[in-house]
Amino acid sequence: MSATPSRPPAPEPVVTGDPLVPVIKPEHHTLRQYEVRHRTTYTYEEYVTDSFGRALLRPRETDQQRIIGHTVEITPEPHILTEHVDHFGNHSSFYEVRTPHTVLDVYKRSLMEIEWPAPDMDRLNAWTVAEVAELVAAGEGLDRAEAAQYLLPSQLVEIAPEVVAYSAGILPPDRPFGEGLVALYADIYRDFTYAKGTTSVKTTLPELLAQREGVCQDFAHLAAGCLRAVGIPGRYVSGYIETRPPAGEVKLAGSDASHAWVAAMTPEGDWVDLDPTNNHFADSRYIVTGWGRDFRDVSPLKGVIFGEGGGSSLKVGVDVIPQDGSDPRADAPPK
Amino acid sequence: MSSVALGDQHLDLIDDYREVVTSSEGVDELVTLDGVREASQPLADQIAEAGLPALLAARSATRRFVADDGITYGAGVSPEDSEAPEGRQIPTEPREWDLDPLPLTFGPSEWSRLEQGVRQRAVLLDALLTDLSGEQRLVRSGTLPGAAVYGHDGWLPQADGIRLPGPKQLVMPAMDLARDRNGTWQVFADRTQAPSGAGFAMANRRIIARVLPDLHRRVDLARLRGFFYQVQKALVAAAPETDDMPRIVILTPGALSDTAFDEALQSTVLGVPVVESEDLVSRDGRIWMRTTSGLSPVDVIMRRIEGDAIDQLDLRGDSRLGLPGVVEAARLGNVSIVNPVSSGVLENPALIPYLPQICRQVLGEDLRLASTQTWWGGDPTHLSHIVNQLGSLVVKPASRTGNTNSVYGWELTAQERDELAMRIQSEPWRWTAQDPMTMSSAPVVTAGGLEPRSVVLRTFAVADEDDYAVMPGGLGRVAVRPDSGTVSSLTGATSKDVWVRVDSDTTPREGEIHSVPSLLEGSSPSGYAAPSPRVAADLYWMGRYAERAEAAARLLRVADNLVDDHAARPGTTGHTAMLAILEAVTEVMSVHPGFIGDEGQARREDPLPYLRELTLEPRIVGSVAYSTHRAVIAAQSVRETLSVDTWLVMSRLERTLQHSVPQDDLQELLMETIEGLLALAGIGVESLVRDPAWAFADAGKRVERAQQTIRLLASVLAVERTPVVEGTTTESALLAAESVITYRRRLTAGLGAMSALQAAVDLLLRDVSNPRSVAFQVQRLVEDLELIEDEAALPAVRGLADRIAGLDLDELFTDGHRPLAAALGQVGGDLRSAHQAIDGAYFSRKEPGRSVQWVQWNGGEGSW
Repeated sequence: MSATPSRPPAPEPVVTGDPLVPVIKPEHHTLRQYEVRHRTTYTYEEYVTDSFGRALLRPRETDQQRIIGHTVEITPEPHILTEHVDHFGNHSSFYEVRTPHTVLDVYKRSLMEIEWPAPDMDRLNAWTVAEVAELVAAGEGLDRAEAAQYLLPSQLVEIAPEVVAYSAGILPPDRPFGEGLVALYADIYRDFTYAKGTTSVKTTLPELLAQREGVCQDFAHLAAGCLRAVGIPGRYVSGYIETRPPAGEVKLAGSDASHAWVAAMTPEGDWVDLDPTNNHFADSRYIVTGWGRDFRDVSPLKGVIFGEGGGSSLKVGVDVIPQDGSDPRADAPPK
Repeated sequence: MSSVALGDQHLDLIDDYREVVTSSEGVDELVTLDGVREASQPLADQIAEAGLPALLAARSATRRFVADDGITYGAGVSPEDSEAPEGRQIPTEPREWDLDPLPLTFGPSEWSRLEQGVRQRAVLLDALLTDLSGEQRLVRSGTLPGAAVYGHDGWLPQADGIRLPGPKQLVMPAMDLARDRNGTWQVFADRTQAPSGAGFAMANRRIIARVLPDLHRRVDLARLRGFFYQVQKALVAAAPETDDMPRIVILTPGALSDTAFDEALQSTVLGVPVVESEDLVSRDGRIWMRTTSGLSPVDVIMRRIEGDAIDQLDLRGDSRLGLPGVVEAARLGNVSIVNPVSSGVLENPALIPYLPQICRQVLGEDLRLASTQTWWGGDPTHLSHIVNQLGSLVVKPASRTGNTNSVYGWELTAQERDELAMRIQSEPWRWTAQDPMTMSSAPVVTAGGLEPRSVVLRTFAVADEDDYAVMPGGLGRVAVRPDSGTVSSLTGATSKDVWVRVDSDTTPREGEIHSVPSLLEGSSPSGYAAPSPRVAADLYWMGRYAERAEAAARLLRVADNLVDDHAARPGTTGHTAMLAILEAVTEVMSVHPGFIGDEGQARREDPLPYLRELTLEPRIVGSVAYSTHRAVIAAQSVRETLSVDTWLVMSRLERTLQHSVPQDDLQELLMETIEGLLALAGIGVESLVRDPAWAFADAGKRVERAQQTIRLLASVLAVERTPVVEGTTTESALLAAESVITYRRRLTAGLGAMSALQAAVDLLLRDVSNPRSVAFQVQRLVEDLELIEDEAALPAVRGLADRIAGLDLDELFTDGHRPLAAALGQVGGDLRSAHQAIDGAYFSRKEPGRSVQWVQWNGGEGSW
């Protein structure tokens, strides 16, 4: 993988004079289309004779997102490729490649239409954090099965004492719910440094809280942990975000990235998505692939291979291409 | 209690027992306050009639039968044992199964009540499993708190939505029961993953029927075999739609399995093979069994491993027992996993408090078979009860992972109690607590008389269309020590046969079948005629090691005789011949330096102690004890493919070698060992079907015997000696190769142009009519390979047979003994190549899969 890119130009401040009122930019909540191209390439030192994979490829439909088209190409061609809707409602794919290979390439292209309205802060602020927890526990008018699953700790979202302590400062019982959610993304954004390569898929929340740096996945886990610690269901959402290159630079093919954030359940059973990595609520630039209790439920690609052994290397290229004519990559033929 | 008729001491046995039992709480399975339980009357009569010495004799007989049948429990893997054949990990010594001769006895009506309860509970658990691994209406409606379900390790959302074709999802549940102080049976644990023990129950019955034959005949008992027929039926009903009879396998942890015997016995009774994950492959969304003649499809996997261990792709990636793709194959409906992968969710004690309500709601009935009173910390009122009554409760974590033993509140100090209360309150949904159980007692036979022990009963149910069938009986277990209230696991617990008496007035229950009909016969076995590479390798090595042990024992016997006669007379020709044979012992058994060279000096001077070591010392690679033990280990790994008689022979063989004392005569020991090995060979000849599995065992034996004979020829006959010495050594070699009588007969009949030495070589090398000759072994090897339909080694082995036939005896001795030595070297080399060809073609290991790096979601920063 290439060297860690330096931090992009500091985002403009998104917090107003009152720190718990979000800045809502109407232009980020309009209807638009994106194409996502996502290529994952494994290169092995020795021939692999049999490769089994589980992948989250087809993006799910949501209230904010409609899927217009979706294709997957796996090279070498798999002997079997199946898809089912998993427990969490995601499209889960299974493949087996039995052609001996040293390079496995999974390339997906999805076209979607997104319109993600801004959250209704007045509605959210009508509950306090404690009231949300109470109403969720009572379970009237919401899916109790869903609520219970996203309330319990999960393998990567351990509700350790450190998490409870951190959460207590962000989500005090009497704080209005909407403000609590703003504080959740804003505080994590403030307290943690974005740094690639400092964490892994196995990093625990206490480790993260000690080192104070990580990537979107870690921040999403932490945010989910904070929510669950105070009795609010929190789920881990994986997908993509449209990014802009630093001023004056052209975006390189494959330079976008997959992304992860968190969603909080309201007492009415709907969800509010927020992004601690970027310090705001989700909007029309957020493309959802799937969600689960933590990263493990929505791992983009995992596999078991049989072969001679030897090492392997992994390359991931993502393009998130707005379909408004502004992006030159839109016309580029797929590789 | 002392007013027993003079001289009738036997009645005291039960009276004394009653006196002990009635001094403590709870009911007893044999006696009441003033008499004997009705159902147990025949047993009590038998006890009174027999008296303690006869009971102790029955106990010894039980132990002997257990050893003879090779019934063991528990095995591990010893890390230091690395030079096993094929790099296979070898289980350490398993323990012998412990069985008390006195059965637990149920009367018809008492059992009928219990059976109804078990059936109803099975139906309820099935409904619960169906709901929890699918729609989850019980949680959505608020009947069952989500945290009681999702907080448990057995809940595997990855396996959601997998449905078995049959009417039932929970095909084979088991329940552990104990009696409360009022004598009511209660469930203290539901076993829904892969409950073991039905095979042990069957084995117990077989033994007790032999130990107490009169009682067993006198009492009308429900038989156990019918249950296994129901299991067969249920497995077939759970299978995906197929054109033929479905092919079923039992997936086990293999050498690591504590309950390998249980699995092997069920495999035999059900007629389905035992496999380990390396025997299976996943391909095209289906599961296949690897056999020595290719892949064979698998329709049903009866799993004996934990659900989350079954698939490294979708479930636990670090599992060594699973197969990537098996969950997907099940989801696609191409294979049925029984019990389903997610059935472990039902073992969660947090569900227990909700069962009565769920039973009313789902079945519209009251729960017949109650559980031990259980509280779950996730419910606030339960939580306060747990915290307040901690000192009188048994605290159990809902999930069994990690250090999660039950904690007995009354054993804790006040401070420990406070700490536990804090832990429970911080994550209450993780914890449950139960009232301590008062179990019933039952007598076990001890040297001091009958002793009461706490009793638990494991019952087995199996899906039977819309209902369940229950094994009439089960596996009884009692605490090891009289004062112990815990019969925590199979480990160390003594077991009991469980008798269910049937009303002799009523006609036998419909569907009561006394033997398992051939539901799977002709389909399944033929489908798996070829063994898996693992099984083939173990059979082959079993054949080789048994033969190696026999060859060594025979040669040692000859050497021992020579030592007896000549060791005291250095300088005589007899002494020289003895030394030559001792050298041959070293060469043939590959135990260098042995009797050779400076290091062998002391041993040559006093050979007997070392000959004894070469017989009995299992740490000397190549000794009789070593090879025998290796043969037994290989046999244990493929237990289900061998006949029961095999265990009888093998356990006696090992006993002979293990329990010898220094006074035992070496000749006697070797003779007994040879007898045992001959009996084993006899089973191979007389009792085994000539199928490919047998052919692999026979091939191993043939390759080994040919090699041993060649080594014997090379180290005894291909060495130049003075004629007088040669006469003795040649006879010795022929003795060791069991061919001396034919040789003498031929000498008497006249040899024509052949020398005596040539006649010996001819007999041991070329004579296809001598079952000890190299040529005979090669010919049999050809037949074995033909049976396997081999193409890898057969041409070369046929060529070898021709070459041996073409050897010219005169040419072999044209230049002293050198051409003979060279020819033997070549034949030996050819045999090694044949072995390598067989090994490469049939015993290949499946390479282990490796997880590849997970793709991390790690970008997405940098909005604007």
